[in-house]
This record gives sequence, structure tokens and C-alpha cells, in this order.
Amino acid sequence: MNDFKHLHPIISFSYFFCVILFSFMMKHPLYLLVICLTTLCLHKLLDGGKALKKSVFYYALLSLFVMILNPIFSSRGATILGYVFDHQVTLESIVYGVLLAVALFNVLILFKAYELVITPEKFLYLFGTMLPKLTFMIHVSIRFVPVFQRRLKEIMDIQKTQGAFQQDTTRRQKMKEGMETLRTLITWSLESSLQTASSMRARGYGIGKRSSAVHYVMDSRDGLVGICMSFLLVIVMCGYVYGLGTYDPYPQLQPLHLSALFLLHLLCFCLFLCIPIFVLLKERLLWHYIRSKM
Amino acid sequence: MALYQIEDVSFTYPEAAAPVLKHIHVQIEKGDFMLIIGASGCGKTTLLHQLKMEVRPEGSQTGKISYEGEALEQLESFRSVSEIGIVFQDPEQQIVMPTVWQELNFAMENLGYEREDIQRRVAEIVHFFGMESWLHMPIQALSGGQKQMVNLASVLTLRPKVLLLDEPTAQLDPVASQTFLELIARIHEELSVTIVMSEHRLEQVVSFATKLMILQHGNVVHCDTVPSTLAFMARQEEGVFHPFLPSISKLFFAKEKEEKTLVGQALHGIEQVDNRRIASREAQQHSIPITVREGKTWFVSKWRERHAQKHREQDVVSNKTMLANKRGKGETATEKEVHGYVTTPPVMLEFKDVYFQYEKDIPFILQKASFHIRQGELFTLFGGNGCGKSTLLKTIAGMLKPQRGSIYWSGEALHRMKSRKRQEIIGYVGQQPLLYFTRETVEEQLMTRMQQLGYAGALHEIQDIIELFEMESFLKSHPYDISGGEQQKVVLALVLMANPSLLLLDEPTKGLDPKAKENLALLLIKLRARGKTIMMVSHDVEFTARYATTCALLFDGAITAMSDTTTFFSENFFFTTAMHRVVKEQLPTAITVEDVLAQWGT
Repeated sequence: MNDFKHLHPIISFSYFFCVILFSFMMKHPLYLLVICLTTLCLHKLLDGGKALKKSVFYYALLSLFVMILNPIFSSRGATILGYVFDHQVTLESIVYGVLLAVALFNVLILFKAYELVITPEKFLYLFGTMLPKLTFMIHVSIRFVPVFQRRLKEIMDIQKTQGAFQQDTTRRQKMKEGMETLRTLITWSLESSLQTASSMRARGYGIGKRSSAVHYVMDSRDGLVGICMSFLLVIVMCGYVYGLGTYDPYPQLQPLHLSALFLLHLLCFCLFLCIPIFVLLKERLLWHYIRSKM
Repeated sequence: MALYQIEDVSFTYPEAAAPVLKHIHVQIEKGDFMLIIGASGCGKTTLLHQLKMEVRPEGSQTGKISYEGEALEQLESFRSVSEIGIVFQDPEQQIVMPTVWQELNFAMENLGYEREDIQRRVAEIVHFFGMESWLHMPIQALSGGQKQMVNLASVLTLRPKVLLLDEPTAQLDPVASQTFLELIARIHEELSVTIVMSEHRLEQVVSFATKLMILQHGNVVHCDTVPSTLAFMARQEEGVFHPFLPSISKLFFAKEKEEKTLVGQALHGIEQVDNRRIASREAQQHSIPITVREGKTWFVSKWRERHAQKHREQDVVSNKTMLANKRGKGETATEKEVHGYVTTPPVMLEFKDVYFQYEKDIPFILQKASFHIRQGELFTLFGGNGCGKSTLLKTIAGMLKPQRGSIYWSGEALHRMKSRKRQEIIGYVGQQPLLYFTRETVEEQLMTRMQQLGYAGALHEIQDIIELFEMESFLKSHPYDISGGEQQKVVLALVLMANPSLLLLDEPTKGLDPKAKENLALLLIKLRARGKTIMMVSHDVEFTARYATTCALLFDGAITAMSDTTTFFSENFFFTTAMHRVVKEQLPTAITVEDVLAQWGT
């Protein structure tokens, strides 16, 4: 069902790479709005917005913070609205703050979507050939972080039954007990890592060049999506070089110019951003169609 | 040509005074299933690790080990890695990669296999093990048994000729270990892979094994076919290798010994009968009963033989056996009364309508769970995997809070108690002893605990505890370097230093060798004599049948079938001792070897 996830990692990685880059480069209110809407839509289609829901509040809070902060610290711009504690507040800095906040928000939610699509495995497949040792280390740490977390909890539970971590103990006592816990965790983990190393050696780790079983094959659909993406990307970048898709509120706020060329560029930009949505929607429609035929 | 030729091998760890292995001389043939038994610390693990260069520990080795005629040290590393596979005891620590699929690829990637080759081998292995449904799961979502299967599968992807298994089921519950061992038997049968395995639970594996080796203090005491080694074990004096015998074989040998003395007495009389007897016993040598089915065949024939004999002597046999049977029943009941049920001791722990769930949206793991334990009892709670046994224990220990219901200690609700007071009453011993150790030596650990409890820190004050637990020999050792049974003793000592009235044990016999189990049992008996109440959660039917006073089953969140041990096991059909299954038609109240011998007697 989640078909965007099954595209070749190069395709999905480049998509996110480009869009994140766009949200830094193209500080145009309409472009930012498009990014924001398509990414929200992508979240909705990927997992019903479940992953986003957990953190969207904090993202919004952070963006709001940036939005308020900009006019307080910056007094650039020609349109002075008033003074707060001898500090001039300009319309331009407010608008710039809003744009900055939206851009930040976009990047944050884009990274969230990235996490859903590009699993560590895919990332390592993409970059593993360059740094095989590092790749392997990252894999092992992915495995052992939850193990350590669970061990820490187990140790603390046991120490509680032994009389540690009481509410009425002094801070010094608490520090001491914390150190004790850490010590147990480290001793235990060192001991077990010896066994892990032994099991790795037993299965031939380090005796020669490693191969990789992970392989993603480019299929025709990947090719089609790739071609569409590159085509649209070229148009968008050319337009950008000619000054389309940028907007600077400083020194004085300008109205948005809606020329035909601009609208064409915006359309291409929209199409580029909607690629994953098309892929996902097509799949849904296909399912719908199959079911109605059966 | 033998697969392994081990000639005069000794091994000493660095800075150790005595060697761990002493002049080992063994041959392992192709296609063998060699089982190594012996108390923990006898050198089983060290011996297994000698058989593969990659895992050989630091230390000095003398003697010669050859693999397929070549010296093991000279074996090419690619061959050594792929042809000799090893699976260790702890399921968790051997796994390197985050998902099952990646872990299965790991060994082949190390050896630089082609991608297509890797895919084919993984596909085969997954099919053979039937692990399709959890292939892409993260490792931490698997159970212990599944993890151990992943370890085995990962080793098998290299298509080894020999598998070394170092107590692979010690950390698993009985169901998972049965599945694992059956898999090993299949690998031996179907793929003809040579197996060398160390294991405590003879009952489950001995029928698959072709050879049995006994190690004691680094010496090979005996190494031969299974019946011969079992007979050898039985010939040794009580208590040395006896605890290792499967209970059915134990009964067989005990009965045989009894007969031998009878025959010995008869020798002075009728010689004709005697010769026949001896001949029949020789024949039996080759068919020592191990499984329930074999045990039953043997027992029934013995039972008939005896009764036919009695029939000749007296005419009223059937009457008499019925009487004897009844008397047997009556006796056990009165015995129980004499041994501490004359006046009913007060109820100490009461568990009343407790509900518990880990998260809001998942089902309750404990539902209306109620039971009580009287003072001085050894109460054992059984239950399937993940049914909430350990959870229940944790709610008593105060690590988890039940959503509803109360737990009372001699009438006082535990949740209203100050947590400090609660900790004084309750001692909790978890499954993993390593969690309790923070110091360099056992002695230091004990001293630290003393200070923590607020006693003056002099060693002579804990002399009593050291003596009670017989810890003298390893006081100066690092807690990580001593055996599992010894580690458990230290933990028990640490917990008991606070002098709790209730002791909670979470699977105390897990991973212990039979000798260590007997030591634990003696300790528990001593503690009960001091008025302590003990509750344990276990899978170990045989241990519980011998030492517990009360048993119950946790099922579907509630406690069922709570009764005294004899009733509990004699009324169960599936969930009972191997001994009871053998004799239940003739001796319905016998659940241990001792019971059978006592009731069978005259």
C-alpha cells in the first residue's frame, strides 16, 4: 500500500534532499505554502499523520518562537509600524519572521516524513559503499541502543527493591545511587560485549572483504518517476537561476508579481512536490478499481 | 578418519594455578551427537571453545587437536569459520545486527558471498526453520527462544560440518528449549551435521544423542554410548552424577540395585533362579528407560512380575495391593500432617482481586488474581510463557503497581506501607544475577550491602551468612567470574542480609546444573526452617515436585488449581512430572522417584 516507501532509495532520497533544499532556497510565500501543504498531505497518506501528530505541537511552538523573535531582534525594513521599548518594529521584519517560521516548520515536518520513508537500512545502502566500517558501526549501534535502555531499566528496578531511589534520600545519596547504576550497566555491558565480539569472530567478521546482501533493483516505475523528477527539477532550477521563486521582503515589502512565466514555474514546482502523492494516490485508486471490478 | 582427534589436551587460563582441562583424550566421529555433561565449572565450555580457533580463550594449551586430520591451528580461517559453527548460551548477546534478516546475512557477508548465493541460502534456512513471519522483525521484539533460533540459523547459513553448542537452552523456558532441541535433532538426522553439545537437561536430549561424555574437574571421567554412560553414572556413589540422571532412569537403577542386593542374598540359596535373573539384567543394560513410554513399559512389566510372584506366594494379592495402595495414600496424608500442618500457620501474604495491565489499551495481564500464602510455605506459581508470572511477582515486590485490588502482608495493605518498610519485609531475587553486582569481589559486594543496610561494616558479622551459603571458597573472586549457581547464592545472600520475611524468587533454577539445584533446595529448606515464607515462579516441574509445599497455575490472568504439591501434580495430566506419568495408574499419588520407591516397597 505504502508505495512511495518501495521506490528505489536513490529516488526517494533525492526527492527529500531537493525539497529540503528548496525550503531553504525559495523563501517565497506561495512556494513555502506549497511545500507545507504537500508535506502535510504526504504525512496523511504515509501513515495517516500518526508520526506527525506526536511532534507537530513542538514544531509549531518552535516556529512561533522564531516568528516572534525575528521582529524583536531585527529592525531592518522601511515600513515602521511602531516602537516597543525604543526598538523599531517593521512590517518587513514581521513578514520575514513569518516566512522564516514557515520554512523552519517545513524542514521539520519534511525530516519527519524522511524518517518514515528512508529507513536506516536504506540510508546505509546509499552511503555504505563509501564508508563500510562506519556503516557497520551504525548498524550495531542501532541494535544496542534499545538493549542498553532495557538493561538500565532492569537495573534500576532491582536497585529499587534493594532500597535505592527512595523519595526521602538526599541529593548526594541519589547521585551516589545513580553512579552505582551506571557502574552496573557498564560492567554488565562490557562483559556481554566480549561475548558479542566472540560471536562475531566465530562467524568470520574481519577475515576478508565484506559483501552486502542488501540490494535494491531499479525497475521501470523507478525509471519513470526518476525521469519526471529530473525533468521538473531542471525547469525549477532554471527558473530559480532567473530569479523565479524567490522573494525578499527587505528593504521594502513588494506585492507578489504573478506573471505567466511565474505561474508556469510554480506549476512545475507543484508537480515536482506532488510526485510522492501521485505515486501513493495511484496505488490507492488502483486498489479501489480492482476491488470494484471483483 | 575421525572428525576431531583430541590428544592429551590440557588448558590453563592465564594467572590460574590449576589447569581447567587435564589431559583430555577424546575422538569425535563424523555424524556423532556428542553430549557433554558435568557440573558448572567442570570445563565444558572451555573444552567446546578449544574446538574452534576463533573463540579459543587466552591461556596456555598443550596437546594436540586435529580436525579432519589437520592440526586445528593450521586450518585455513575461511574453512574454520564456515565448517565449524558455534552457538553460545546467552541468546541476546550473540546477535549483532538490528533485524533478523540482517543477522542471517551477517556471516555470509563476512565471508564475502555473492548476493544471489546469500539470497538462496537465507531463503532455504528461513523455510527450514519456519521463521517467515518474523524475518523482518527487529531483534528486540523476539522471545528468547526465537533469538536462539536466529543464532542457530545464522550459523547454519554457512553450512557447517560440525555444530558446537554451549548449553544453548539454559536460558530458555521448557517449551522453547524443547523446540530448539528438536531442531538440533533434525539437523543431526536430516543434514548429518556432527553435533557437540553441553547440556544439563538430559531428559530432553539424551534420546537424540549417540554419545555421552562426563567431565569432572577437567577430566573426562567417561565417554561412551548413552546406555553405557548412564549405567556408569548409576554405578558411582550417590550424589556425584546421580543428580544428572533422568528421573526415570534413576528409578530404574535404584530398583535394579535393590534387586541386586536381593539376588546377592539369594545367591546362597537357589542358584538356578539367580543365573536367569542375571541374564535378564544383562539384556536390560541395553534398554535403559529414558522416555515416559519406555519407562512405562518397563514399570508395568516389573509391576506384573512382582505381582505374579506375590500371587504364587499368597492368594490374596489383588486385595493386598489395593490395601497397600490405600495405605500408601493414607500415609502420605498423615506424613504431611506430621511435617508441619498440625496447626495451620497464619496467612502471611494475601493477594486479593488484583488487576494489572502494562498500558492503557492492551488487555489486562492479571485479572481478578487472588491467592494466599501461609507462613513457612514454599509456594510455586506455574504458567505459560508471558502469562504474567514475573509480572505478578513484581507487583508484590513493589516494582509495578496494580490498577485494582490489594496485596496484604499479615493483614496490612502493602500499598499503604512505607516503601522502606516494604523492602524490609520483601526480598526479591530476579532472573539475572549480574544486575546485583557492582563491586570487584564478592566480599566487597557483601560489605557494601552491609553498609547500605546500616550495619557496622565488619566481616565477622556476616560470617553467619557466609557459612549458611557456603561462600568461603569464592569470597575473593570477581562476581562475574564465578559459576551461575554461585552467583545466585551471592544474590540470595545480598537479599537475605536485609532479613526479609518473604522471599520472592523468579525462576531460581534456570540455568543451574542439577548439583547446584540440590544445593539451592537445601538452602530453601534451611530458610523455611527459620520461618521464612518463600514464593517462587518456575517452569521446573521436577524441582518443584520435590521441594514445594503448595502449587498453583496462573492462567488467563487468574490463579487456578491451587493445592498442595502432591495433589497438584497427581491431578494434572499434561503438567506433571515424568515420574507421575509413568506410574500414575499403579501409584496415583507418587510424583517423585522417592515417592515411587517408598510406595512400591512391599
